[in-house]
Amino acid sequence: MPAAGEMSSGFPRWLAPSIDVKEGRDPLGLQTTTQDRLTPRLLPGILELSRQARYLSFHSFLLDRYRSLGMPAEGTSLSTFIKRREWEYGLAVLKCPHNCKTIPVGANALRAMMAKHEPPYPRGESVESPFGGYGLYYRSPMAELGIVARTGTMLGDAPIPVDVLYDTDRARALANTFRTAVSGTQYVKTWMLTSDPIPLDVLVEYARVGCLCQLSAHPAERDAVHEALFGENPFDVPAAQIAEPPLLTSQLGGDAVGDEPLPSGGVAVTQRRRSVAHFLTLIESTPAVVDDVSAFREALWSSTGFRSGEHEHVSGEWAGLIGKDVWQDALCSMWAEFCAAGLSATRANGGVGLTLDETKALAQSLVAGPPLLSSSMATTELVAAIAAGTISLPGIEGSLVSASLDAVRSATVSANTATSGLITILDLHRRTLGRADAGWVSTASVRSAWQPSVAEVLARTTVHLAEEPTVADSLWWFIQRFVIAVHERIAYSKLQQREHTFRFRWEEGRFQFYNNGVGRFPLAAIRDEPLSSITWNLDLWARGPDGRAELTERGRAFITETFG
Amino acid sequence: MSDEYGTIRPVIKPILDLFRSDCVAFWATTYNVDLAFFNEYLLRRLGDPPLNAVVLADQRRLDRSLEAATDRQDLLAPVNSRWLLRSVQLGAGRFHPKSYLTVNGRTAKLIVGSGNLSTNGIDAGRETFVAFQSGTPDGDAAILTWRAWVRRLVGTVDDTRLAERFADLETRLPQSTVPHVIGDTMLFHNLDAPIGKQLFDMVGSADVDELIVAAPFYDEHGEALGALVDRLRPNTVRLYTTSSTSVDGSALVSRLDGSGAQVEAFAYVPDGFTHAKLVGVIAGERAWIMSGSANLSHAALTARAGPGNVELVVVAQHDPRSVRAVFVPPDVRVEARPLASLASLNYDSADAAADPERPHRLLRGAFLHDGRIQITAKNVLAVSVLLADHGNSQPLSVEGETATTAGPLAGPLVHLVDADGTTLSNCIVVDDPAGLARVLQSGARSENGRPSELTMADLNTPLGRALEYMHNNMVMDVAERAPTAGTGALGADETTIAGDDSLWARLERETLARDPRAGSYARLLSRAQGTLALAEPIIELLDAMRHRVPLIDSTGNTRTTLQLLVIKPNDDPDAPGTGGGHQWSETARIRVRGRNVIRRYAAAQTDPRLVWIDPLAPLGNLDMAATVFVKMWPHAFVVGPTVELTADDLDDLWGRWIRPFVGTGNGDGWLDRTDVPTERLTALMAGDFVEKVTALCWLAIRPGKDHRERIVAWQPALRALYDRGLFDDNETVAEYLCMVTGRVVPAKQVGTDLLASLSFIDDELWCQQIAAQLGVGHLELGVLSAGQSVSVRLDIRGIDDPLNDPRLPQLVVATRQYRRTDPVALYAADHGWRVVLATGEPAAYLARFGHGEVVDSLPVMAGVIERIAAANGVLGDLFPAAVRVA
Repeated sequence: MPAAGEMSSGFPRWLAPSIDVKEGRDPLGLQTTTQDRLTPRLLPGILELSRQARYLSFHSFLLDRYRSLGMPAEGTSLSTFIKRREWEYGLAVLKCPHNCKTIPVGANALRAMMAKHEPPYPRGESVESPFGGYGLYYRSPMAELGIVARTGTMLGDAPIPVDVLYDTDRARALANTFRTAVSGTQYVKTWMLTSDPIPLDVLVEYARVGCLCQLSAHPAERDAVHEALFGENPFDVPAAQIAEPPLLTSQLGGDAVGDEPLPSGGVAVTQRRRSVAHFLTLIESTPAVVDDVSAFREALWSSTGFRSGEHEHVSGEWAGLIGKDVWQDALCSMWAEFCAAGLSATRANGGVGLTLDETKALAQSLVAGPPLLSSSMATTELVAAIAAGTISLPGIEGSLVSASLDAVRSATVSANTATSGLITILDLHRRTLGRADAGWVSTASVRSAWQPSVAEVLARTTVHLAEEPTVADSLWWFIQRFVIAVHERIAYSKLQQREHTFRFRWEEGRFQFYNNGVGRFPLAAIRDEPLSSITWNLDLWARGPDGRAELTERGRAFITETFG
Repeated sequence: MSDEYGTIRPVIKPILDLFRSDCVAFWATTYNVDLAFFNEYLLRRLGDPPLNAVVLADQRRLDRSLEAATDRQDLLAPVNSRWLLRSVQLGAGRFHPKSYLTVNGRTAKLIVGSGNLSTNGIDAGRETFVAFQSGTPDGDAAILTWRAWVRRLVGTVDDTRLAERFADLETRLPQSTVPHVIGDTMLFHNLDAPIGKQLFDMVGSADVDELIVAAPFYDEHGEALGALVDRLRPNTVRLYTTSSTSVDGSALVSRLDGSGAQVEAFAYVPDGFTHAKLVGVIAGERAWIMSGSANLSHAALTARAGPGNVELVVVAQHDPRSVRAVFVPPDVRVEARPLASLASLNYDSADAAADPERPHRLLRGAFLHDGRIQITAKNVLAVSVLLADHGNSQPLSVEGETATTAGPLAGPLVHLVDADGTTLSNCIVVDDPAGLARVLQSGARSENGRPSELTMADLNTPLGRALEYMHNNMVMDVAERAPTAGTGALGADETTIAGDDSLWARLERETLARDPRAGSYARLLSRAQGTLALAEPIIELLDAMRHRVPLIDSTGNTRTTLQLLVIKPNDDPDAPGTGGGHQWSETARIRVRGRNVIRRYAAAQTDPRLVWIDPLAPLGNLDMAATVFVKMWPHAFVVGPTVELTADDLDDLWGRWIRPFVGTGNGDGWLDRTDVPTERLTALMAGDFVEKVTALCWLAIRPGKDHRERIVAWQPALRALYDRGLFDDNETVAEYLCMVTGRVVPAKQVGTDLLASLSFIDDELWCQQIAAQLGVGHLELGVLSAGQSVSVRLDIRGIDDPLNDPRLPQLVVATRQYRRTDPVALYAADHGWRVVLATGEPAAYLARFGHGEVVDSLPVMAGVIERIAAANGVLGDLFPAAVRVA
């Protein structure tokens, strides 16, 4: 007989869940198109949170220093080394005598510590995550730029055990120029490897020359960073022509693209240069793009005055991204209202789900808006009303025709209704009808693993409109194809990661709705902040006396060099 | 988790325990099945073919499910194509047993309980299960009973495709290679006798003190429970209920009132549907717990299958305290309620509602090669009926109970209709015989499941197979899996949360923790303290390397890895010296690639993210690597280019693995840094692991070429291992080493050699190795002048700034370990500085001999230098800031 407390054979155990209930970040598989397919294609090598150009030279310096000190060639030791140096660097940045307000890696933890301690400040580690901010934000780009050889890279016939700088001029230049900038500081000479609390004056002195904001004060280092980002990677094959963009899906009658390899090597450098140069041209016409994402989106959509065919192409590429995001927000409005209505209907039904017919009726009933539409109204009539300016969206003064596309997108986000989503999609359809320039096609035709491309959606919408549906039919058409069918597949795939992210699920012949976050899901970030920050770091633009962004001579030269 | 009884109550997670990618067979019996959940999730977890997956479900319940599925046939695609779904109906009762059997490699697991094959049933609901595993007396007995029971069920279904699959299952179940004890079965069904009667027989004439029950469904007036009370005559009846317990509460109270027992009522708080079915019987110091599918109804308890339901339960004898405690689910408390409160319970007759009567019953159907469908019905079919799917119908050519459509039909969900389209039968999912046959066949699993360095041809070698196994089942290199936060997986609104780095750290941590391979570490390292049974992944790894010998010896004891290796496997075509089978000369090509994979894995041991997979993952990975090495060593002495890894390779690789794990005595090993309690580590490393470590370390310092160099190089790690008690020079180790080296190595000799290596001294060699390791120009153990207080002096070249160079603390610690002394004097032979360190004394620093004054620090406390060295710190920490300036 087993003793009390022992669970021997035959004893029942209670079930414990192995699936976590979570909201899910991308319930319709639309964010992923931007995050994983479009932005890496449009701006390769620059990640959303790799925003400070000087971290490239700072981390190069750390890797070089670590190696030159003969420290152990193993991950834990390197991780600790980097995180401690990032902590001290972050402290210095927050104490920058230039009052730059730049936010370093680990700022939250540093500020919390500073609130509790007077100087000298205790030592610490920047972030809990292994390899600190380097591991989170800079390791991958530095590898992609050919600066860092990551652990596991083959050296002869053996993999290297720890990250090292490549032995190239451009990698050495990054490390050397940062070292030159800070080598005279007490921090580097005396304090860097110790564990004593670090005095304020040591930090201030370090920041005076080493702060993230001081890249422009060190032209050689700035040029080294510029070269790392925009120069040829010696490990690349020679830069090839950027491949001809694929034709519009509807023209080919095939699946939309999206699974091709992302740009690499010389193609990546060329693409990065073009996108950055395009951003700089936007500053010329719309200075607010450096601070305002809405202005950035609208400028990307409506940019004109192209300097060359390459410029027009890259402009079209970014416009494709904006079009895709307008489609996402429009569908999101349908999704949000559909999920909320489904949950209400299920509750009203005593927790019993909805049959397919009931679900269809529910979707078709979402005409109350705002704006209110008649369910029996022909969708082509609605299209005509949009074009004639007789129907608009709440928050838009005047007609949709005269409104900017981003204003229309913002209006459906605010209205958060299925009819506002439908009108936004139809307006996008109107604006893009017949658009076939190669840049637009190359990104508008990119799909995710779950959703068709925006070009494909717009092409199918054309076919749908030809079938003379009513508004109610169109609501069901969009919800059935792009919401219901997609969400269940995505949620089942998330189950493989043991996450229950269903907002609804077909169970035993009914749609069961779950109260698992019924609101909107956001657009993915589109690199506006890194573009703004890095180009400013590199002196490609500056603020004029009135605070407006203005291109510098370097910025103009960069545009000319790229587009002619 | 412990409860008010102070009892530790482990929980069960069937999805993790059963649904694993290396599964080759999965059989379930269930009342209902959530087809979408199984097809879209569970089936995918079971992985690629070969897979024998079968679900037997209640006929009436399945009829309803399939009828409801007509609107969503997209969710039915794998049914009867990748796995077999069959309904069961015995007499008038329900088919109600919930049992799940999986077979992985050489192990079978069976769980029996209350949960159906649905999200609530096996993951989210209040359910209980009992788990059995093959290879244990109770497990083997339960699986034997289950096999016999299922064989009879298969017989009643009378379906050759099902029978064929059952025959296949029997070939996949583990076959015992040696006679061993099989215990009395705890598993009971009601094909022959009612469950209640079998429980009564077990309790016998014992005076019952308490009868404790919890179940969601009673019969309307509580008659079955009443009968139980009448027969057992307990002093006390304890009922656990929820607001959804289905019984006429007033009738139940009336029924129990007359029993003479004291009746106590308890409610679960928070209130929630509780589907577990438990019956506890306590008689003095004896107690029985019955769990499984049987509710407190006549159909479940007092009737045989046929008139009653088909039920399956586990009855086990335990101590009274544990039996009382099991009635309380985790995170739930119980509240005593007045007996009158039971009157609020209502009997829910919804499930007993009659299903529509259909003139015909379809049993099964199958696609023919030309797309036509052949069906079998229960009764002779009328000539006029048609077979219809969701869009079309086809006339049938009827031959008694079978019929074939005149033309192709898409299916897969079909039913009989008349000429007007009126439904005449239930729905069935048509079998795809070719698809079903394909998934049964043996075949390679995913070809992508191998380390990137290896080719497909490499997987034909033992080393290749071992690396493939580790790649697929363990997280050997986190970098292969880790997400990059900076890829921008964040929303536009989140980009404003500047400085919130913890978001990304969390994302990375959570993603890694979800790696499906994380479960392997629990299987590898969860064995209870003192248990020496070989963990499943070790067995599977050896199995992958084709080392197949009995796991237990003739006395019934489990063998360790080394014990397994000293037995020549009967079916090991890769064994050195065997003439037939695999030729090792073909395997030598993997040497470079395999070595690189293992080196990469070794380097990845120190990736701090590895513990996010499992806190013990570094130990688990080392254990697997050590298993590969001890398996490879017997081949390493074969002469010529015929081995996958040479002795030098194995020395090098083992060094790369063990040093980061155990460290060099500087507090720099994983064992020094881990938060896992020492007692737990000690327990986990005892036995099999330590044997392998001892054997591999002895091989590293074996007599022969470069003996002195190897000893000096290995000393720090060997000392660290010795200090942690990680050597075990037993007879098994000696026997293994004899086999490897081909000469007698007595057990005593193993220990003597290892101890001798710890005290081995060769100053010149040591200086060369340390200088190379630290990148110092030159190092020499110098001569001390008479009267000096220190015992060791090191002359150094190549370090110009001793207070700011992290190599100095490392050097001091290495010297202390080597010479087993504390005071150390460091003299620069090229720059003139001097440093003297002794615990308890101030450290002395002279910037240039002959110039300036000696600067003293505060007294250096014990362990300070070691801590500085471990943190890659500098000696400058000991001195005032003004002194440190280079």
